Amino acid sequence: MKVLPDLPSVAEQTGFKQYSPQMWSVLVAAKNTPPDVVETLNKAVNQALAKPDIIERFAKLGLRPLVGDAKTIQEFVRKDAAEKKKTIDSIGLKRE
Amino acid sequence: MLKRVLLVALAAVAIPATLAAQPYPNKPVRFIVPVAAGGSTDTTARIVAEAMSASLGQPFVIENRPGAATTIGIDLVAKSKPDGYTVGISGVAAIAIIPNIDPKLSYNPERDLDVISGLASVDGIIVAKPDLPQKTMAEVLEATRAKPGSISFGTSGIAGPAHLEMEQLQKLSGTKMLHVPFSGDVPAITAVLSGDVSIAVVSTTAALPFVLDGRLKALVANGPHLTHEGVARSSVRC
Repeated sequence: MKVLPDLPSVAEQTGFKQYSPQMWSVLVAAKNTPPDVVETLNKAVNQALAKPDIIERFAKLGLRPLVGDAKTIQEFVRKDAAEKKKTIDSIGLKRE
Repeated sequence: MLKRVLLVALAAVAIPATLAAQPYPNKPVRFIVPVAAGGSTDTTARIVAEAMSASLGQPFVIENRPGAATTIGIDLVAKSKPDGYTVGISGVAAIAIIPNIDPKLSYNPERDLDVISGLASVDGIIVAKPDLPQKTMAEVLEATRAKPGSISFGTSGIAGPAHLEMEQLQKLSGTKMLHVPFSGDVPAITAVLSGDVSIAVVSTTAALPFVLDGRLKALVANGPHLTHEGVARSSVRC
């Protein structure tokens, strides 16, 4: 990561290539938000995330912009949720 | 005089038409943050809300609604009117983990939520006190393999992403560590500093100040980040 560029990742250090932690945040709204509103919000966020000062503020916090149109991000979330479900099922995690 | 009357008359006709055609957003937008102020998620939301207020011309007002591992705040977004005047920031737990382990969750992400955009990818980190004998996570796994349960790890909570990740890592490495859940990254870090747990698996955002001033050492970056970014690799120097 940018703030600690010499620090290896778990996969690099331990050799467990299947280990792929994903932590992210996304913007959500209630289902059936009008498409033009989704478009306006998505554009505004992506424009903000492309600004050098925001990229810089993010980097100092160990954050990287997660950029993409709504469909791309929806697909990303769906895929990661499925990935996490596999892990949850394999370790038998339950909410306590 | 006539001119003024005409102007007023014109304005009277024009205003309702303008209002009807006023594009979104034409009033302030609530921006729900499902955690308490101060952490990585909250900071992300504040940075983005500030930029959106400026570019869209309406304030995006942060509202912290913490509780139940972020599901209280996200439930509020799910049950709001779908008009774009209530949005929220969701992390991994509320839409990718808890729905998979809690059949009684009050919302269903696929059915009740629209994902609008990405916000941030969060780099995780695993930290320890400088006096921990192991210098890397690989060494920690070795130690715990030799003596199961000798290493305890603090996370931001049961079923949080860090918990899930460590369960996966233990399974892959055939090791057993002791999980100690806290109510957030900051309490987990405090527990490492006080010696209550051996290591903390947290966001870099929360741990970085302690790593930079030497109160904690970084064992490993908790993510596939370097490979993804193609950053040159070298040994640990923290």
